[in-house]
Amino acid sequence: MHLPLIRKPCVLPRRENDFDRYTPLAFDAMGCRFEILIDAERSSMDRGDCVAVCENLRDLVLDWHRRLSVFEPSSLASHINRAPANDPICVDEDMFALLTHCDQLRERTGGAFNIACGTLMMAHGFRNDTIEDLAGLDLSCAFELNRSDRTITKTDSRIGLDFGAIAKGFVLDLMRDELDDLGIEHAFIHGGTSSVLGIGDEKDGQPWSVLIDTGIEIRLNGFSMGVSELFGRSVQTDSVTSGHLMNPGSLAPATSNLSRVVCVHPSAAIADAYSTACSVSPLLIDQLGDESCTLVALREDNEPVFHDPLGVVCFKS
Amino acid sequence: MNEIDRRMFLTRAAGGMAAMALVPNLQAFGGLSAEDALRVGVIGVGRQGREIMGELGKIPGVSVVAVCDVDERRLASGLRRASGATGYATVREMLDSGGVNAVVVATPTHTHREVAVECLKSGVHAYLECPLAHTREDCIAISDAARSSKGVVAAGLQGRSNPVYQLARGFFLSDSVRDLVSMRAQSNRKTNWITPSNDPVRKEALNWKLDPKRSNGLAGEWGTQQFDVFNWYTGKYPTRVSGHGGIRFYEDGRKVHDTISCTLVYEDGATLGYDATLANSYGGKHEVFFGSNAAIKLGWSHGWLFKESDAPTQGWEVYANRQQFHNDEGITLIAGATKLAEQGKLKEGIGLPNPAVHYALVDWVTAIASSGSVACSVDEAARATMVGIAANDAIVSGKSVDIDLSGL
Repeated sequence: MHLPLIRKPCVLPRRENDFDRYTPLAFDAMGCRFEILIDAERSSMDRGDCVAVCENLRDLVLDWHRRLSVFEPSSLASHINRAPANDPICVDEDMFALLTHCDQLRERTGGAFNIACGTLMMAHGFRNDTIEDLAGLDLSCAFELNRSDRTITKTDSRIGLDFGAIAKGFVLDLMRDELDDLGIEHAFIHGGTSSVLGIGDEKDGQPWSVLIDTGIEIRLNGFSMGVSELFGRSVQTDSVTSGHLMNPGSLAPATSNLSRVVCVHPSAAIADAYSTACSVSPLLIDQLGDESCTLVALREDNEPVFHDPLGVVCFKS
Repeated sequence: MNEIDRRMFLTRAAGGMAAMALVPNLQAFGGLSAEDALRVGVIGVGRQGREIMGELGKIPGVSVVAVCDVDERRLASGLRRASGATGYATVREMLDSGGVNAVVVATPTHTHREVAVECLKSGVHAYLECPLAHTREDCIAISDAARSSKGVVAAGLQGRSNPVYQLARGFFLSDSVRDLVSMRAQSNRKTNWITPSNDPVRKEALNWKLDPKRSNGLAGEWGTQQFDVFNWYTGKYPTRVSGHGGIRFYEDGRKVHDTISCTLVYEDGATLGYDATLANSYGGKHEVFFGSNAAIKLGWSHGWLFKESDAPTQGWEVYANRQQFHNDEGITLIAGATKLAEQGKLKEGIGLPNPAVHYALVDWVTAIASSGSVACSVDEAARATMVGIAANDAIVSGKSVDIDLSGL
């Protein structure tokens, strides 16, 4: 297990007087620790309401954790994973929207991001359940979505969905929408330090910032950041160590000379998905980098390759 | 019998004892036929209502076709959770549409009477969230309406449908704890109980739990579910309650206590101690039965039997799963133990796979499909709710209060 990428893994108030300013809340969900920090002093709400907002955001995350976790037998994701091929499963509007978004991201990343990678996680020893035979499996058409009756139909019974590469970013986007609705303009949230959202600024116009190990600071005023590491988790079989990112094309654990990829984007879900996709397929860094997306890739020698149209990357001496 | 067969036999026998009480709940629900399909309208789609919608979606033959809430944002949020459902601002509109043959009432407690009675008069099947109502009079009115309703009416006291609680009750009734000497329960959760909104009118409506005129406080809102566990296990109801409470942590001008403690006394002198707080989460929500041979601790998704050293040992205990709690070793009460043992997953199946409300909803749907009886009647829910109301009265007044369960 590698150490967290960010040097500020704890956003809870660092100085004593910050406790008056912020309402912090931390909790465990989606296999990591979430931390929420709302600037109560610059909010139109009183402090009690800001604490309640944090608690509501926590409940929102826990709700989606219960729906998306493949480790919860009662989750909707597990329900879909248990379904046989060609058996349509009806899902709610929010879930259908997420599935549709994931499918669009799969297309946009040339298949490098694919939630059907859950199948490969099972096949390569990252789950209790295993799949021995991947012959004939085509993850490019793992499932079909039917808009008219909001159903998902697996094309192969072996298909297993895994939302690990997007779930945290997805709930960060939902949290930002909630905060927007409530008129809260300054907040900082992260899930496991690998999915990060900065709303507004930290104080006095200074952006929320996170420092990457190599001395690169990412400034996040209004943006989200997703971080992906090939060996964020790994398993060892015989003498081979495999990272947890899967290549949906080769059906094997991904390999590349990039140790980490950081993506900054207005959408946390997209930041998460793109960082994973670029880790799996480094050529995407040139293709996905447009005016709305900053990508920083760290090679194994820690040399950064970056594309920064958002102007959020800052080198610290 | 060889050693492996003998072990398997004993393991199965161990699970068999544990599973006896579970058979009705764990039988796979086959679903409803197309003509009997349950078209459910969920009334009140706050957090609890939305959770219920999610659980209904897992039950074969059940569709949420309508969602009703007076709050526009919650209505929109509820509609996103139900494929193709229609939204309604009033219960009357929803019932008049003719599209539903069953309803779930998950509105704020103080509105239950108006909503539930209207639904029960229309003859649809109904699942009523608990606490049943805000006052004794409202409880009696809902019970009366349920008695004359043509539909199957279930109340949501979830312990009665919970497989772990059903299993543990089997142990309790078979004298595992022996002489019951006392009972204790708590519900601790760190939350300020506020629903935030930047619209003052909406905030007032959403924060009914913090309004003493609309809320029975922690004893009523949280305690009722737990008081019923003791009613159900012992077959008795407390007759008197005393207690106290205070605002120990949230200095925001609230009037409803954030920390309470009360003692419920039974006719035979047994007592149930109950504590709840919004300021600390240690121990969460659980109930404990203390007996001369053992204690049973129930934690909604988990249950344990803590035996005294001089208590007789049963054969199946050799194979039972255990957990250590400081100096005490608890035998885990595992739902579906037989099936898990056969699959070699006995140790994995310590907790329930679904939230407690899931089993209560399955019981309700099963009762409709089989024309059977419900796991929790409205009368039982009324009694537990009346206990909760009396407990809150005692805590607020600081005086001992007689618990009056008459009128049902």
